[in-house]
Amino acid sequence: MKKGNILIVEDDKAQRELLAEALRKRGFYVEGAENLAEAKELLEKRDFNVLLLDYKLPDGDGLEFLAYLKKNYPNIPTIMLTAYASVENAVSAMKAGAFHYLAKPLNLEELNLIVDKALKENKLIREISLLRERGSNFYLTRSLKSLKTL
Amino acid sequence: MLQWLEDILLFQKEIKIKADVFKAEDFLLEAQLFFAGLNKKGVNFYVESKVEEVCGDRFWLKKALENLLKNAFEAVKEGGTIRVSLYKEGENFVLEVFDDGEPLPSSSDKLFEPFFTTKREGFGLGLYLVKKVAEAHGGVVKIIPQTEGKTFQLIWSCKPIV
Repeated sequence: MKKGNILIVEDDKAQRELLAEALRKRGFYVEGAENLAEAKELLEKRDFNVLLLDYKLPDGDGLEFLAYLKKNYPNIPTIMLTAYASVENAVSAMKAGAFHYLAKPLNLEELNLIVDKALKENKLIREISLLRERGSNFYLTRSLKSLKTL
Repeated sequence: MLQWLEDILLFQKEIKIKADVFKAEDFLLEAQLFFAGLNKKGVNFYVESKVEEVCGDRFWLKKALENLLKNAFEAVKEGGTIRVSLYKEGENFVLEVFDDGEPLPSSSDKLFEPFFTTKREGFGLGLYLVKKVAEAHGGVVKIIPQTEGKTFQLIWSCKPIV
């Protein structure tokens, strides 16, 4: 069984494939998208646990896509990747709701640590959602029973 | 971080070796990721390792390799070749960077001096840092001229310091 599903959105083929290789070796299921359009398609097809997102992409801005993700896939922690490492970029990414921020060239130890943290976060969010769902079902069933007694 | 700023910061930093044993595969994968970000002219890049584990200060060895790669990348033409090899010779580790680009300049003995550069850009601190890293590990840097291009060798021995 795979440790989790990861989507890498990175336009540079070599970097995308190297990153995927590194994460696959750690037991993850990994898919890669070279632009935002491809990423949207993959997100519709599969349930991902973590997303690695490049800051600059050929068909749009990673930060704008982050807003799309927050709206449509709020449970997926997103790690922003950028060659334009600066405090300003880091702050913008975190403000826009990124789970974390990694500067290129990537440090594998740091990447692994942050991906593991993101996976834990995703697991936690899913568990909370499930509990909420169960909780609301419980209240719904109770309300229906109460209605019947009326 | 801006490259020149990083160069200056590393230049003034004292190198204190914290030796450790780490996977050669991971070390070279990081080098590949670094080079992929650099390679905008279709240079053929190859890595090979004849060892499974490396001993040394991972941070500083990585910085040294990045500088050797930058140097090699600036020397090669479009479609040129850069090859990184990692192996052991007796007790010593050898990290080799070959490029088929420009041959060694006549002033090659000055290459490892701080602020010496044959390029228009940069401060001439990259190879100086490589030398500092080698020396901090009790090792040396060598340049071997090739028929086409050159090979830089970073040689150090494995002495973990706790």
